[in-house]
Amino acid sequence: MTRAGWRLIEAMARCLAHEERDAVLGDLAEAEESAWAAARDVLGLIARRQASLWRLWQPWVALVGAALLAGGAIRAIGWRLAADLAMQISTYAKYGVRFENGLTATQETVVLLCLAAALAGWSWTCGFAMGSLAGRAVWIPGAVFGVVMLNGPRIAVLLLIPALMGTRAGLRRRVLPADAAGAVAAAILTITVLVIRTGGWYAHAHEVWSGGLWRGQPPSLPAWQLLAAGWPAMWLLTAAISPTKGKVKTT
Amino acid sequence: MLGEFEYLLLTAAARLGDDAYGAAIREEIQEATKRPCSIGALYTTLDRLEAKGLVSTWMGEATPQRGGRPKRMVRVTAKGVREAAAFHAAVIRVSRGVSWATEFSARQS
Repeated sequence: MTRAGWRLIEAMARCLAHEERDAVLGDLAEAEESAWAAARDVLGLIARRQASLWRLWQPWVALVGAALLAGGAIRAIGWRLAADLAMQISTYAKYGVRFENGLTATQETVVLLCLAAALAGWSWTCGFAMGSLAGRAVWIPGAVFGVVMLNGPRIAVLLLIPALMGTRAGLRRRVLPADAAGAVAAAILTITVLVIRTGGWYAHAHEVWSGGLWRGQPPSLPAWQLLAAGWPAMWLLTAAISPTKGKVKTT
Repeated sequence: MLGEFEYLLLTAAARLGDDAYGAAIREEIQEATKRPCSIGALYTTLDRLEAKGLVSTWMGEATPQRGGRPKRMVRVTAKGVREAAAFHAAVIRVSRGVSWATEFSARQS
């Protein structure tokens, strides 16, 4: 087998668990197979391993619950941040003044910072849940999460960074220590409450700004979006304090 | 009841004894069946047999021939021996009197 062929086989084998990877690569080296036959063998084993992982419920929760549902909610909320930022930036660039939406400059800054912090936090916990639940099957929920984000506002691409960090942490630790999980959940809850509270400023400001015409407008962020984006943080806490410590059968 | 491939794997591992590991078992099966044995089938079946308690596996020593990588050693457990014997007995019983079995016996004698 050529050196390049062997490098390719080694790269593919990284999808396997550490010990199995060593055993399989050793067997292939001993068998002196062609690169094509070895690649077919490794791919076959990876496919079987992936198929067996998807017989469990955890990767499905990671895919549907985290990548699609939480990812979709994060993206939807990301649109809100992107729209507000774009409005302020374009107004300032064109006219040299802030876009007047009824909020003071300080209020506007607090609203946007809370929203940005919440999006980063939700993305991290969503990534953690994907890594922890899906284990070696994470590349499918991870790819779906990436596609969901890339179909969102440009700013959502930035959210892939905390999501990737969370996924790495989830793959390594699977379950956080109870105190760390509690701190993360408390931080996410606090920032979510702040997002709801500061979101209310908008509703009030718009009501004042419109002379009462917009009274009773629904809150700017629907509850389902906040719940969908926030459930991974609650899961992270539940897994940390449950008697089974969130043990999953994934390899 | 064992599956056909599970029986082949158990038998190959039992025949190899202390030298039973992935590549050697694979070669043994390929020689016996004259058919290719994929690494995927081998390792997933090994996992299944280990989960059933029919074999035990552990990581063995590394050799230069294997690029310094360890072997996954295999040992058939007492339960594995009983299951393989039961499968073999069932094959012998069900094959009694059929043409290919009598022809095979005649060729052997």
